Amino acid sequence: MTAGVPGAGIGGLFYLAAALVAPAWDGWRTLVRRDRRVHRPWFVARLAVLALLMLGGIVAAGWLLGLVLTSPSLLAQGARAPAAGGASPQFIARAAVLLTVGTLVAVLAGVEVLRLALRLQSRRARARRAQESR
Amino acid sequence: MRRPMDFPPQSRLTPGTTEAAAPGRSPVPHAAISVIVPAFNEAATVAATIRSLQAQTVIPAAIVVVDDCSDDGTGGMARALGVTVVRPPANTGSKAGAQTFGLSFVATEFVVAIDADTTLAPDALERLLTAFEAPRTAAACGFVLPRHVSSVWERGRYVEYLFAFTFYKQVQEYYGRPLIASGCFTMYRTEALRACGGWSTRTLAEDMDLTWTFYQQGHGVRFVPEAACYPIEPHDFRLLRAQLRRWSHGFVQNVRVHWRPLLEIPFLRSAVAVTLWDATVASFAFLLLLPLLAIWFGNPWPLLGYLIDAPAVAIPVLVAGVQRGEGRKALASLPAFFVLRTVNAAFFVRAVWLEVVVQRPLLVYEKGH
Repeated sequence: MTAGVPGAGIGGLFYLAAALVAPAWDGWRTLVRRDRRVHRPWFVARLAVLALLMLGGIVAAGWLLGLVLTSPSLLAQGARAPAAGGASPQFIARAAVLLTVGTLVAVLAGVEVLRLALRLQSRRARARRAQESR
Repeated sequence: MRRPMDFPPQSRLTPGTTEAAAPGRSPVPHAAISVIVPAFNEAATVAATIRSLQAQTVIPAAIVVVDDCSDDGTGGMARALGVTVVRPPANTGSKAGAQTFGLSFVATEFVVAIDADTTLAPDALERLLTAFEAPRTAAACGFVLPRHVSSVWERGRYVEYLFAFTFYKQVQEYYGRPLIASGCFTMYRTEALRACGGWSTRTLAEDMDLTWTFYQQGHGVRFVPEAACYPIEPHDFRLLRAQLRRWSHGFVQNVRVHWRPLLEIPFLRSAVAVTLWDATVASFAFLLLLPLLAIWFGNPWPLLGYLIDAPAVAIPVLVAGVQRGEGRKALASLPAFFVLRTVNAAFFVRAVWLEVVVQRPLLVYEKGH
C-alpha cells in the first residue's frame, strides 16, 4: 500500500507541509475564489492539528537527541558525537533539516521543469508537423 | 449509525426492492451494487467475506464469486451461501484477470471489488455509496486495517495502515487525489470501469493502474475513511515476500506506464515523485548510508536515524488507535513497524534495480494475500 519508507524521507515532510497548508488553502478558496466546495472544516482542522503535533514530535525528538549527544556523562565515557570535525549536534540537526527541505524542493521543482520541458517539446513537434504538412 | 434509509439516495437503490423487515428492524434497502469476489483457493476465508457482504446495511443486488479454477472447494463453499459462482474456462493468472472476467456478469450502476479474505464493517457499502453523489466520482475506497494482528509482520502492517490511512491518505483525499483506491475493497461506477476495459494486467498493481487511469480520463477517486474493511495480512515472511514483491514491482511498473500523463495531474505528480524518491533514494540511504556513517564515525549514533521520526509516526498511529479503542495494541505494535519499514525499503530498492537497471521485470502474479 505505502511505497517506500513511510514517515521517513521527503514524503513525510511533503505530507506534513500539505496538511499545514490546507487551512490557508481552504480560506483562500472560500474568501477569494468564493468556492463553496471546500471541505468540512473539522476535517481540515483535524489534519492541521495532527500535522502540528507531528511537527512538535519531530522537534522534540531532535532536541532530545541533541541533549543526549551533548550530555556530560556521555562525553565523559569517551563517546564521540557522530559528526566529523567536532560539529555540534545542533549543527547536524539543522543541516539534516536543510538537506531534507532542499531535497524536497529540488524534487518538486524537478517535476515541474520536466513537465514544462515535455510541453515545450510536444508544442515544437506539433509546429514542425504543421509546417511539414503545409 | 445512520438509519438505513437515509443513505444511499433513493436513485441509487433498485426501486421497490426493499427486503421484508425482520420484526423490530427497519427495512433494509437493496442497492444498485454488484460485488465481485475474485477467489483462487480461498475456501478458508471466502465464507466470512460473503457473510459480511450479506450483513451490510444496504444489500447488494448481486454477489458474484469468480472461482478462478480453485481446487480446494472454494466454489462449492460460496454456492452454499446462496451467491452466484462463475468459473472461467482456465485460471486467469491474476486477480485483475478474475475481476475483469467477473465484470461481464455485472448489470448494476455500481460494482465493488473485494478480496476473498476481506470482511467489511456493516455499513461499509452504504458509506462508500455517499461518495458517488458527485457524478465525477469513478471509484471510492475505504479505511483498511488488518483483521488479525499477532505476528511481527501483521503488527507492522497494522501500524503502517493506521499511519497511512489516518494521515497520508486523508491529505491525498483533501487534495482530491488518493494515490490508490485499494484493491482489497473499492467501489466503482460500472460505466467508468468498463470504459477502461476493467482491470488491466499490464502491471502487477492493477488497483494503482486503474486509479491513475481514472485521473487521466478526468474522473475523480475518493477516500471515505468511515468505510472500514479488514483483510487478512501476511502473517509470515513467505507471504509477506510475495506481497511486497508484487507491490514494489507494481509501483515501479505503474510509474513507467503512466509517468508522462501523470505530469499533467496536479498534486498527484508531486505525490508520486516524492514516493518514488523515498522508495528509491531514501530507501537506499536508509539501508546503506546509515550503517556506513556508523562505521565511518566509529560509533553507533547515526543508527538513530532509523528511529528519529518515531514520534512523527507514533502520533497519528496512537490518535487513531485510541479512537478505535485499540491504543494499547497500537503502542505495542509500534516497534514492528520499524522492522517492516526496513524490509519494505529492501524490497523497493530491489524492485527498482530489477525493473529499471537490469530490465528484468516481474511478470508472474504471485499470491500473497
